[in-house]
Amino acid sequence: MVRFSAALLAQLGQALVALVGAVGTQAMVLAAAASATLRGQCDGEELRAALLRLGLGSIPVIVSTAVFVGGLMVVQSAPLLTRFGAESYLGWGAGFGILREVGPVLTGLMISGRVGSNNTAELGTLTVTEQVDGLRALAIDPAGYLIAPRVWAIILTTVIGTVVSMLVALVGAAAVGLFLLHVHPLTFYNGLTSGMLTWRDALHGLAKAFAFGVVIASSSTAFGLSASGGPPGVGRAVGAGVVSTAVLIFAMDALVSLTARAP
Amino acid sequence: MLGGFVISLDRVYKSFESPVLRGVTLTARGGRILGLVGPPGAGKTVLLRAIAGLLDVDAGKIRILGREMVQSSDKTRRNLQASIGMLFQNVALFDFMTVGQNVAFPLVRRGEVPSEIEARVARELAEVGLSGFEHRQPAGLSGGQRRRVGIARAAVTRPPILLYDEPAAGLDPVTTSRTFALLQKQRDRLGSTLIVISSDIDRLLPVADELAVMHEGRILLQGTVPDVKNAGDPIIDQFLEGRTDGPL
Repeated sequence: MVRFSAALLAQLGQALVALVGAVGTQAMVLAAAASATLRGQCDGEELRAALLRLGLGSIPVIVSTAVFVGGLMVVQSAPLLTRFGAESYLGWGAGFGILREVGPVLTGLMISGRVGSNNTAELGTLTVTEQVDGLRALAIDPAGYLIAPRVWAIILTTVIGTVVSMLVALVGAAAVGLFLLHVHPLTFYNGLTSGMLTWRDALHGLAKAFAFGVVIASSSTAFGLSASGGPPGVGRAVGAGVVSTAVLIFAMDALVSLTARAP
Repeated sequence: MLGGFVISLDRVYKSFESPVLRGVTLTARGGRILGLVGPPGAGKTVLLRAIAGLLDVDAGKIRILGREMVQSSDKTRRNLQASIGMLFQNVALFDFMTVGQNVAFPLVRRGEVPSEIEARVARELAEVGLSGFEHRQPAGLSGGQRRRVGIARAAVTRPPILLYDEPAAGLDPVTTSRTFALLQKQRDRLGSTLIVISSDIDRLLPVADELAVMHEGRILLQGTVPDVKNAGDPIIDQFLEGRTDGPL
């Protein structure tokens, strides 16, 4: 029993050390990106390329997910709204859920899966094949050339992607509301803008999107740059990065939700 | 710096899980080829990376072109790195660039004018026998071609110091001979100081002006090739002669 407890304690200790190490590495990534940006060394060409590759390429998957999410919210709430004759609240209900929770969280998870894992794999490959050291050997600071452009591209992609996702999900909800509950789009719009939803709700969602963007950028970059052990090491880094980012997204979601609760 | 010490290391230590460099003292004179040899695990690659400023050593001094690298500011370190060209053991070509972009990259980052960049890239690729390869992707090259592109990229800025980690690893005998001839040509053409790690002792000895033998994190001996060969050290003799019997 004592031996079992000691082994458990040792494992917990190792996990704690690993957690502190991971958080420390992510903090260093963010510090490096901020420092390179403030020194004017964030490579503009790389930022543009990263935005096009990571950001623009994510729009189709964000749009297609958002349409279904908006529609499904209406499908799930339809029985309740119909029973109480509260179809006119459809716009408010859908808007509340989409703006404050579903839009940012699902977009964050989609971007984590597509962009974050891609970022970890790219940086991991660059690291294990000594290409990052190759940059440093050419007197090129990886913080300005590799880290800062990717961090900013992922944060911008998450925030802009969330805005797109929110708008498309609302359109999807209105469309399904029309066909399923026969709620006119104008009624949906009136519910949305009746005053029960305010700019604070949209801001709440955008704050989450920004926090998720920071988490995805720092986590995926840190795991990529820490990869070791050849191609299998890159695979391990991608897997660990995706899991870690997903957990951090929900942790940040809870943190932002608790610190800025709905009135 | 021609003839003087371009690189000097004084009692350099570095440990990871265990000690790798145990008080390395080494010098390299201007315009010469220094061969760095030793059994696997001797610490050669770690030493080369320390000279290139790619890792922080635990103790000791590393002077590059008369300036201290250890514990220098990032700016000083980058300035010193700009005077070094390096070929990594696995070449480390940038996979997301073409061959031409790889070779041009150091010049682009230095803000050279496009016409000058184009001319120098063409010249360096011609020097390594890869004219017309500008638009090829690194993934489509053979191992030898990748190494030659790496050599071209290392030399394109005409740095005073070139560090080559196994420039002929895995190459056939003819390409190996051509590669070592190319290193001699670079020394003569650019006046650079070369430190070359190679397991191919037979090809390295004829081109090296000096030899440093490394074992278990220390330099056993540094000197001209005849001096090292005639030193009478049993470890060095066994290593250079490739015998299986002996202290190694």
